[in-house]
Amino acid sequence: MPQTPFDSEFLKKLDRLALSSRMVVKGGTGGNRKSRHKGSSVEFSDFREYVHGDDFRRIDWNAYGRFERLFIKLFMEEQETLVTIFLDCSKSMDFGQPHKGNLAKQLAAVFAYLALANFDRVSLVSLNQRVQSQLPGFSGKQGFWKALKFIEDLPYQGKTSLNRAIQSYPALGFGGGISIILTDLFSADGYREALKYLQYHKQEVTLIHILSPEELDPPWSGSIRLLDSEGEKPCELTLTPQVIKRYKQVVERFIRENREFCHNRGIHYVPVSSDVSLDKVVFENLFQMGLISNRG
Amino acid sequence: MKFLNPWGFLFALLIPGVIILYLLKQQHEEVKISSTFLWEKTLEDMESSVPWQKFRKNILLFLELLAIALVSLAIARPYQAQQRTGLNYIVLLDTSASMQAEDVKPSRFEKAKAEVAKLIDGMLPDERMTIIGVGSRPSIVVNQTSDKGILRGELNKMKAGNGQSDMQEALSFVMGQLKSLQDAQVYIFSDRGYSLDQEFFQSVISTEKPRNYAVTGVSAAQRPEGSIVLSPIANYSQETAKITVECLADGQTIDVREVTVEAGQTANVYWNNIPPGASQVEVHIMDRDDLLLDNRGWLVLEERQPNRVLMVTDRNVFLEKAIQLREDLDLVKTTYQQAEGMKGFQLYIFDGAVPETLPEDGSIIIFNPDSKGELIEIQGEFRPGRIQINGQSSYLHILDYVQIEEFHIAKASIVEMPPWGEAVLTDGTHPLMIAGERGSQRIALFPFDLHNTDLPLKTDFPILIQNLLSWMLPQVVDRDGRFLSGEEVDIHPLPHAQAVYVITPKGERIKLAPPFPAAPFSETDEIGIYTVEQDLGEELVRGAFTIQVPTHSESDLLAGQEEIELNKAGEGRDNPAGRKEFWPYFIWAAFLFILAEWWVYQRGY
Repeated sequence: MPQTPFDSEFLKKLDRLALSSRMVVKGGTGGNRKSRHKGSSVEFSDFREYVHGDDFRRIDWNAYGRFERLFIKLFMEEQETLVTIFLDCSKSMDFGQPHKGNLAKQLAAVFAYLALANFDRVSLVSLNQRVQSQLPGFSGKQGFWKALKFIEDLPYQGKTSLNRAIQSYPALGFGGGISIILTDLFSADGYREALKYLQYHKQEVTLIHILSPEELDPPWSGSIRLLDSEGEKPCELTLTPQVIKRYKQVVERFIRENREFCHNRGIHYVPVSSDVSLDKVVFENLFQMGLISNRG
Repeated sequence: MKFLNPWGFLFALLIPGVIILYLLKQQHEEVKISSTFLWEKTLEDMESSVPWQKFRKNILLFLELLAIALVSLAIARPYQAQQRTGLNYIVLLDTSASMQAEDVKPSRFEKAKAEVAKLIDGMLPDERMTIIGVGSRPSIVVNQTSDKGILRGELNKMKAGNGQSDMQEALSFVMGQLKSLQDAQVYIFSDRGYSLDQEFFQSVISTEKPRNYAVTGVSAAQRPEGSIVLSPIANYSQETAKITVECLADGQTIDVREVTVEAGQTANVYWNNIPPGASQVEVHIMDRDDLLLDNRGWLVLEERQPNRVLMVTDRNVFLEKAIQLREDLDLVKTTYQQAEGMKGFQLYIFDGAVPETLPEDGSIIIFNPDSKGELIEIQGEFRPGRIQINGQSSYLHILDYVQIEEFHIAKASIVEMPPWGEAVLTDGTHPLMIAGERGSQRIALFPFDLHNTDLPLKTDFPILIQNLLSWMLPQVVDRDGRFLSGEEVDIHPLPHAQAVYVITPKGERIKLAPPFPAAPFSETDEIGIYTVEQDLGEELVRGAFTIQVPTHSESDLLAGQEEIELNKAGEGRDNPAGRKEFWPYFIWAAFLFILAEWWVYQRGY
């Protein structure tokens, strides 16, 4: 993974952003996100025991006085949300110029940062044909560096089976939350069942579909043997302008079908090319789509 | 379907070559990509939209192979088998002067060659062809060959000559060949038709209205004030023509005239102002016509030098009178005593005695020799019986118009037969007249005294003597030096000539002798003035003769065409030129496949 472009200026920019209100979910505990429930912004909701990483300003010192244990006050309109970031770490993501996986990791880091900055809890899950590794729910800005280390160390290996891998992820519960999937969607068993599964678990799903420039516009010509990085059967063909044209049509149709599916199911679908800079993806693509907005 | 050129299928060897190239080319460049997920979808997509996609992968190869196969077929030249095979073609190609006429473009001869070439192209592999060039002496150019390369090569080398064609001789040769050949077809390519008993295929090459003028001869009457030259100018066209004629003497234009000659007629043109001393005259028709060869005629004007003759005799009136009948002799008479050592005569006549050493610079006639000479050995005398002619002798022309039976000889010497001579007359036991040649020297020996015979009293005597003189003192070239192209020219060297050369009009110098006697000069195809050069040791003696186009047979370009109905004789025979061949269709099909390949390639399948 190349040097993470999280310089201070970038972090300041991030600081001003919050996950969009469109990503608001029902329920949850704490956090900086407005609930769909109407009510005063200072309306008390509940207590919760302090865990490492919580904002200590919210500690109820009165409760501490009574019970000698640290509790945090929760308010109805400022609920905490669990943001689960699924990062496709199959071998096919280890590809592209610029590198698809790098962009995915950087975006995962951005989403984690934003979630943490909004006092949401974050889970990071690395997938290939199954759940490869995970960093379960953490919160607080301090958790960000841990998350960054976790992301950095993720290897690219194995095949892609999004349906199987996501459906085998146990820690979603039915409390609702936000699921962000960063993948190239080159999944042998498809991805739609996985998305349905997430929605079943009351997840607000965002699908970031990352493709490299080579995948969008193949630069090769002549007779070539295309070797699948995940070990699938090689594909021999003669690349003529006609074939390239047909390929591009297939790619377009693939993206169109994805978009239609996601639109019909109320899923945010963001197709991204890895040659677009991270800044642009964050501040334009995601912003324009309303996935990220200026904080209140 | 059969094939004219089965070797053409060798071209199909390219097919494995192309396949190997394709296999080599099929080694794909390997590219590692993230996933073949979308590529598989693309291929599925293409295969579902085009059912024959799998075939398409190699469509270029198939198109190329098809094109090669078609080209191979075309080269192999398939044809519809319509005729017998194993034929022997005998082609008689007229090479006479009239074949050079350009009324048929580029010329009659070239057109005929093109037709023969077509015939060669149409030959099957097991067929053979003989090509005979029919000129003044027919010659076999190619004999029973099936190799088309040789046939075409030899045909291309053939040229029309300037002489006439001896078709009869060629045909009699062909008739001989036909006896031993089966399935032979005879093709005659000529500019005239021949009435033949056999059914030969005749191709008559000419047009209906050829235009030709000719100088049909040049002759002269020599006078002290200069010569008068007569040149008949013939118009062989079908219209009256105004013909411009030029006369040149020794290369200088003397006069130019315009002569009107009616169609088919000849006009005599006289040229009076030939300067005295001119040695060569050329008459030249300046108008362009279809046959240029016969537009020139030549004449050699030579001043005759008298022949010097030395006669050594006591006195022989009969002989003297008989010799002096010939006008061009410079006769010197002398006695034996004075004769010793005399030189420089073309003819020596010794009557009654022979010098010890015979002269070598002239021919010799000896009457009644004594035994002193080295040449002759006298062994005695005899009384001859009835005179007989030796029928084997090659000198019988000396006795032309002479009635030998009328002669009687009372007494003669017995002479031993010298090695250079042969008996022309005998009495059955001993020779009575010996003739022979020693190098270029001609010798005649009569072993009797004329006074002991009744010979001088007969009217045949002067004839005999004149015949003898004609043989002894020949003109260097006969017939006033006028010959036709293709004829043989007899050249009679002077007795003391050491070498004889003929220089052709183009300047080629051809050695004719030694060896003596000189063979007839036969390289007379070229027309113009030939020079005969005789090397006498101290001096060169030059003479000349002319070779002209045989205008009587060659200049009338329409001659012989009314004799037969054209090609009638060829009807019913297979004409190979009409054989149905298919190669153009295959070439077109191959071309279409190559176009299709280009189109497929451009479309990028």
